[in-house]
Amino acid sequence: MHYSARILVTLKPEVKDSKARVLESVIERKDFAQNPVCHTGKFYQIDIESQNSVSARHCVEQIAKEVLANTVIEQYEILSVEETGNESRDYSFSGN
Amino acid sequence: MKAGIIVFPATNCDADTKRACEFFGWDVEYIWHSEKIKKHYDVIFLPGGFSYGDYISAGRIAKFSPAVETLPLKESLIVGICNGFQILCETKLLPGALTDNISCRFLSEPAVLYFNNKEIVIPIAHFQGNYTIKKMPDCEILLKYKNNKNGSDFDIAGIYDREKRIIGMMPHPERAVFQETGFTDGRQIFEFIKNEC
Repeated sequence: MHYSARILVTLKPEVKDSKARVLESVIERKDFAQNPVCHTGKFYQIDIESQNSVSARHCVEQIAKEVLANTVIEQYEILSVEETGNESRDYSFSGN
Repeated sequence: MKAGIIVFPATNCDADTKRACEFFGWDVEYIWHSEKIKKHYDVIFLPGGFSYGDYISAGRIAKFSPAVETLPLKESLIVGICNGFQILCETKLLPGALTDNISCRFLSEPAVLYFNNKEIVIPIAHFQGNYTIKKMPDCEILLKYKNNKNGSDFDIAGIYDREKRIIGMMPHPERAVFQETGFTDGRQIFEFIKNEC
Protein backbone atom coordinates (compact mmCIF):
# COMPACT_ATOMS: atom_id res chain seq x y z
CA MET A 1 0.00 0.00 0.00
CA HIS A 2 1.10 3.57 -0.67
CA TYR A 3 1.80 5.85 2.24
CA SER A 4 2.77 9.49 2.23
CA ALA A 5 4.65 11.01 5.13
CA ARG A 6 5.36 14.65 5.89
CA ILE A 7 8.26 15.45 8.18
CA LEU A 8 9.58 18.66 9.64
CA VAL A 9 13.21 19.00 10.76
CA THR A 10 14.32 21.94 12.86
CA LEU A 11 17.30 22.81 14.99
CA LYS A 12 17.03 21.94 18.66
CA PRO A 13 16.09 24.98 20.80
CA GLU A 14 19.54 25.17 22.38
CA VAL A 15 21.30 25.38 18.98
CA LYS A 16 21.96 28.78 17.39
CA ASP A 17 19.63 29.34 14.43
CA SER A 18 21.60 31.88 12.41
CA LYS A 19 19.22 31.88 9.45
CA ALA A 20 16.34 32.69 11.80
CA ARG A 21 18.17 35.77 13.08
CA VAL A 22 18.68 36.96 9.49
CA LEU A 23 14.98 36.37 8.79
CA GLU A 24 13.98 38.41 11.87
CA SER A 25 16.20 41.24 10.70
CA VAL A 26 14.61 41.30 7.24
CA ILE A 27 11.04 41.14 8.60
CA GLU A 28 11.72 44.05 10.92
CA ARG A 29 13.69 46.09 8.41
CA LYS A 30 10.91 45.82 5.81
CA ASP A 31 8.30 46.75 8.46
CA PHE A 32 6.32 43.54 8.14
CA ALA A 33 6.28 43.21 11.94
CA GLN A 34 8.09 44.38 15.06
CA ASN A 35 10.21 42.04 17.19
CA PRO A 36 9.46 38.86 15.26
CA VAL A 37 10.79 35.58 16.64
CA CYS A 38 11.60 33.04 13.94
CA HIS A 39 12.62 29.41 13.69
CA THR A 40 13.74 27.83 10.45
CA GLY A 41 13.50 24.24 9.35
CA LYS A 42 13.21 21.83 6.48
CA PHE A 43 10.15 20.07 5.18
CA TYR A 44 10.22 16.64 3.55
CA GLN A 45 7.50 14.60 1.90
CA ILE A 46 8.35 10.93 1.51
CA ASP A 47 6.04 8.53 -0.28
CA ILE A 48 6.71 4.84 0.26
CA GLU A 49 5.10 1.46 -0.09
CA SER A 50 4.50 -0.51 3.06
CA GLN A 51 2.43 -3.42 4.33
CA ASN A 52 0.53 -1.41 6.90
CA SER A 53 0.44 1.93 8.67
CA VAL A 54 2.51 0.72 11.64
CA SER A 55 5.40 -0.45 9.48
CA ALA A 56 5.10 2.67 7.31
CA ARG A 57 5.43 4.88 10.36
CA HIS A 58 8.36 2.83 11.65
CA CYS A 59 10.11 3.16 8.28
CA VAL A 60 9.56 6.92 8.23
CA GLU A 61 10.86 7.17 11.80
CA GLN A 62 14.09 5.43 10.73
CA ILE A 63 14.49 7.69 7.70
CA ALA A 64 13.94 10.77 9.85
CA LYS A 65 16.46 9.67 12.47
CA GLU A 66 19.18 8.39 10.15
CA VAL A 67 18.93 10.58 7.08
CA LEU A 68 16.87 13.71 7.57
CA ALA A 69 17.95 14.81 11.04
CA ASN A 70 21.30 14.91 12.80
CA THR A 71 19.97 14.24 16.29
CA VAL A 72 23.02 15.93 17.83
CA ILE A 73 21.66 19.31 16.76
CA GLU A 74 18.30 18.69 15.08
CA GLN A 75 14.86 17.47 16.09
CA TYR A 76 12.21 16.09 13.83
CA GLU A 77 8.45 15.86 13.88
CA ILE A 78 6.46 13.46 11.75
CA LEU A 79 3.54 15.65 10.80
CA SER A 80 1.51 12.90 9.17
CA VAL A 81 1.64 9.45 7.65
CA GLU A 82 -1.35 8.86 5.38
CA GLU A 83 -2.46 6.02 3.25
CA THR A 84 -2.81 7.32 -0.27
CA GLY A 85 -4.24 4.40 -2.16
CA ASN A 86 -2.54 3.72 -5.46
CA GLU A 87 -1.37 7.23 -6.20
CA SER A 88 1.30 9.42 -4.70
CA ARG A 89 -0.08 12.34 -2.74
CA ASP A 90 -0.25 15.55 -4.64
CA TYR A 91 2.66 17.73 -3.51
CA SER A 92 1.05 21.14 -3.59
CA PHE A 93 0.17 23.73 -1.02
CA SER A 94 -2.34 26.54 -0.89
CA GLY A 95 -1.05 30.10 -1.00
CA ASN A 96 0.51 29.99 -4.46
CA MET B 1 53.97 6.58 4.08
CA LYS B 2 50.89 5.52 2.18
CA ALA B 3 47.91 7.84 2.03
CA GLY B 4 44.42 7.31 0.70
CA ILE B 5 42.10 10.18 -0.22
CA ILE B 6 38.38 9.44 -0.42
CA VAL B 7 36.69 11.24 -3.32
CA PHE B 8 32.95 11.88 -3.24
CA PRO B 9 30.83 13.45 -5.95
CA ALA B 10 31.51 17.22 -5.60
CA THR B 11 34.64 16.82 -3.50
CA ASN B 12 36.96 19.57 -4.73
CA CYS B 13 40.03 19.51 -2.47
CA ASP B 14 41.22 16.05 -3.42
CA ALA B 15 43.86 17.24 -5.89
CA ASP B 16 45.30 19.83 -3.48
CA THR B 17 45.42 17.24 -0.71
CA LYS B 18 47.16 14.78 -3.03
CA ARG B 19 49.74 17.40 -4.07
CA ALA B 20 50.39 18.26 -0.43
CA CYS B 21 50.94 14.60 0.46
CA GLU B 22 53.28 14.18 -2.51
CA PHE B 23 55.22 17.27 -1.37
CA PHE B 24 56.17 15.19 1.68
CA GLY B 25 57.07 12.20 -0.47
CA TRP B 26 54.06 10.08 0.49
CA ASP B 27 52.50 7.50 -1.86
CA VAL B 28 48.96 8.63 -2.54
CA GLU B 29 45.90 6.93 -3.98
CA TYR B 30 42.39 8.13 -4.54
CA ILE B 31 39.61 6.01 -3.07
CA TRP B 32 36.29 6.35 -4.91
CA HIS B 33 33.42 6.81 -2.47
CA SER B 34 31.50 3.76 -3.68
CA GLU B 35 34.43 1.41 -3.09
CA LYS B 36 34.87 -0.48 0.14
CA ILE B 37 38.30 0.14 1.64
CA LYS B 38 40.27 -3.08 1.51
CA LYS B 39 43.89 -1.94 1.17
CA HIS B 40 46.06 -0.72 4.01
CA TYR B 41 46.83 2.99 4.28
CA ASP B 42 48.84 4.71 7.00
CA VAL B 43 46.48 7.67 6.74
CA ILE B 44 43.13 8.17 5.05
CA PHE B 45 41.95 11.67 4.23
CA LEU B 46 38.37 12.82 3.86
CA PRO B 47 39.16 16.02 1.97
CA GLY B 48 37.31 19.30 1.67
CA GLY B 49 34.54 20.13 -0.75
CA PHE B 50 30.79 19.83 -1.04
CA SER B 51 30.20 16.09 -1.14
CA TYR B 52 26.80 15.31 -2.67
CA GLY B 53 26.23 19.04 -3.01
CA ASP B 54 25.75 19.31 0.77
CA TYR B 55 22.27 17.91 0.14
CA ILE B 56 20.17 17.60 3.32
CA SER B 57 23.21 18.93 5.20
CA ALA B 58 26.99 18.96 4.69
CA GLY B 59 28.34 15.44 5.00
CA ARG B 60 24.92 13.89 5.57
CA ILE B 61 24.80 11.71 2.46
CA ALA B 62 28.53 10.91 2.41
CA LYS B 63 28.24 9.07 5.72
CA PHE B 64 26.32 6.33 3.91
CA SER B 65 29.01 5.71 1.30
CA PRO B 66 30.78 2.31 1.26
CA ALA B 67 34.19 3.96 1.72
CA VAL B 68 33.09 5.73 4.91
CA GLU B 69 31.28 2.65 6.20
CA THR B 70 34.47 0.59 5.82
CA LEU B 71 36.95 3.07 7.30
CA PRO B 72 39.63 0.93 8.98
CA LEU B 73 39.28 2.55 12.39
CA LYS B 74 42.38 2.52 14.60
CA GLU B 75 44.31 0.67 11.91
CA SER B 76 44.73 3.85 9.84
CA LEU B 77 44.86 7.44 11.01
CA ILE B 78 41.72 9.14 9.69
CA VAL B 79 41.94 12.85 8.88
CA GLY B 80 38.84 14.84 7.96
CA ILE B 81 39.43 18.30 6.50
CA CYS B 82 36.53 20.75 6.32
CA ASN B 83 33.81 18.67 4.57
CA GLY B 84 35.71 15.64 5.87
CA PHE B 85 35.28 16.92 9.43
CA GLN B 86 31.58 17.45 8.74
CA ILE B 87 31.29 13.86 7.48
CA LEU B 88 33.08 12.44 10.53
CA CYS B 89 30.73 14.34 12.85
CA GLU B 90 27.70 13.18 10.87
CA THR B 91 28.81 9.57 11.28
CA LYS B 92 29.30 10.30 15.01
CA LEU B 93 32.87 9.04 14.78
CA LEU B 94 33.74 12.46 16.17
CA PRO B 95 31.59 14.32 18.72
CA GLY B 96 29.64 17.47 17.97
CA ALA B 97 28.26 18.84 14.75
CA LEU B 98 29.04 21.61 12.26
CA THR B 99 26.25 24.13 11.72
CA ASP B 100 25.91 27.44 9.87
CA ASN B 101 28.38 30.20 10.64
CA ILE B 102 26.78 32.70 13.01
CA SER B 103 27.28 35.43 10.43
CA CYS B 104 25.34 33.35 7.89
CA ARG B 105 28.12 34.18 5.48
CA PHE B 106 30.59 31.93 3.71
CA LEU B 107 33.98 32.59 5.32
CA SER B 108 36.97 32.43 2.97
CA GLU B 109 40.10 33.91 4.49
CA PRO B 110 43.33 33.15 6.30
CA ALA B 111 42.69 32.19 9.91
CA VAL B 112 45.09 32.61 12.80
CA LEU B 113 44.98 29.44 14.85
CA TYR B 114 46.53 28.09 18.00
CA PHE B 115 48.38 24.82 17.36
CA ASN B 116 50.85 23.29 19.82
CA ASN B 117 50.92 26.53 21.83
CA LYS B 118 51.96 28.50 18.75
CA GLU B 119 50.11 30.71 16.32
CA ILE B 120 49.86 29.50 12.76
CA VAL B 121 47.96 30.81 9.73
CA ILE B 122 45.89 28.45 7.57
CA PRO B 123 43.06 29.32 5.17
CA ILE B 124 39.45 28.54 6.01
CA ALA B 125 36.61 28.31 3.52
CA HIS B 126 33.23 27.26 4.85
CA PHE B 127 29.60 28.13 5.48
CA GLN B 128 28.87 25.34 7.94
CA GLY B 129 31.95 25.75 10.10
CA ASN B 130 30.30 26.51 13.43
CA TYR B 131 31.38 23.62 15.64
CA THR B 132 28.54 22.94 18.05
CA ILE B 133 28.90 20.77 21.14
CA LYS B 134 27.10 20.87 24.49
CA LYS B 135 30.20 20.51 26.63
CA MET B 136 33.96 20.35 26.13
CA PRO B 137 34.57 17.30 23.91
CA ASP B 138 36.17 14.25 25.45
CA CYS B 139 39.16 14.40 23.12
CA GLU B 140 42.12 16.62 22.35
CA ILE B 141 41.56 20.13 21.02
CA LEU B 142 44.04 20.25 18.14
CA LEU B 143 43.31 23.71 16.75
CA LYS B 144 41.58 26.79 18.13
CA TYR B 145 40.62 30.03 16.42
CA LYS B 146 42.34 33.14 17.70
CA ASN B 147 39.58 35.25 16.19
CA ASN B 148 36.48 33.06 16.18
CA LYS B 149 34.30 34.34 13.33
CA ASN B 150 32.06 31.32 12.78
CA GLY B 151 30.84 31.02 16.38
CA SER B 152 32.38 27.61 17.14
CA ASP B 153 31.90 26.50 20.74
CA PHE B 154 35.09 26.87 22.80
CA ASP B 155 36.73 28.41 19.64
CA ILE B 156 37.38 24.87 18.41
CA ALA B 157 38.78 24.57 14.87
CA GLY B 158 40.00 21.00 15.05
CA ILE B 159 39.94 17.97 17.34
CA TYR B 160 41.83 14.69 17.70
CA ASP B 161 40.41 11.55 19.21
CA ARG B 162 43.65 9.71 19.99
CA GLU B 163 41.91 6.53 21.03
CA LYS B 164 40.03 6.21 17.75
CA ARG B 165 42.91 7.82 15.81
CA ILE B 166 40.60 10.29 14.12
CA ILE B 167 41.37 13.95 13.42
CA GLY B 168 38.86 16.51 12.23
CA MET B 169 39.56 20.12 11.34
CA MET B 170 37.82 22.93 9.49
CA PRO B 171 40.95 24.80 8.22
CA HIS B 172 42.65 23.62 5.02
CA PRO B 173 46.29 22.69 5.72
CA GLU B 174 46.69 21.46 2.12
CA ARG B 175 46.25 25.11 1.04
CA ALA B 176 49.18 26.16 3.22
CA VAL B 177 51.98 23.92 2.00
CA PHE B 178 53.29 25.56 -1.17
CA GLN B 179 55.23 28.80 -1.10
CA GLU B 180 53.20 30.09 -4.06
CA THR B 181 50.02 30.26 -1.94
CA GLY B 182 51.68 32.62 0.53
CA PHE B 183 51.06 30.23 3.41
CA THR B 184 53.24 27.35 4.55
CA ASP B 185 52.10 26.69 8.14
CA GLY B 186 50.05 23.76 6.84
CA ARG B 187 53.32 21.84 6.68
CA GLN B 188 53.28 21.65 10.48
CA ILE B 189 49.90 19.89 10.34
CA PHE B 190 51.16 17.36 7.81
CA GLU B 191 54.27 16.75 9.91
CA PHE B 192 52.00 16.15 12.90
CA ILE B 193 49.95 13.72 10.84
CA LYS B 194 53.06 11.84 9.78
CA ASN B 195 54.23 11.57 13.39
CA GLU B 196 50.89 10.15 14.42
CA CYS B 197 51.00 7.38 11.80
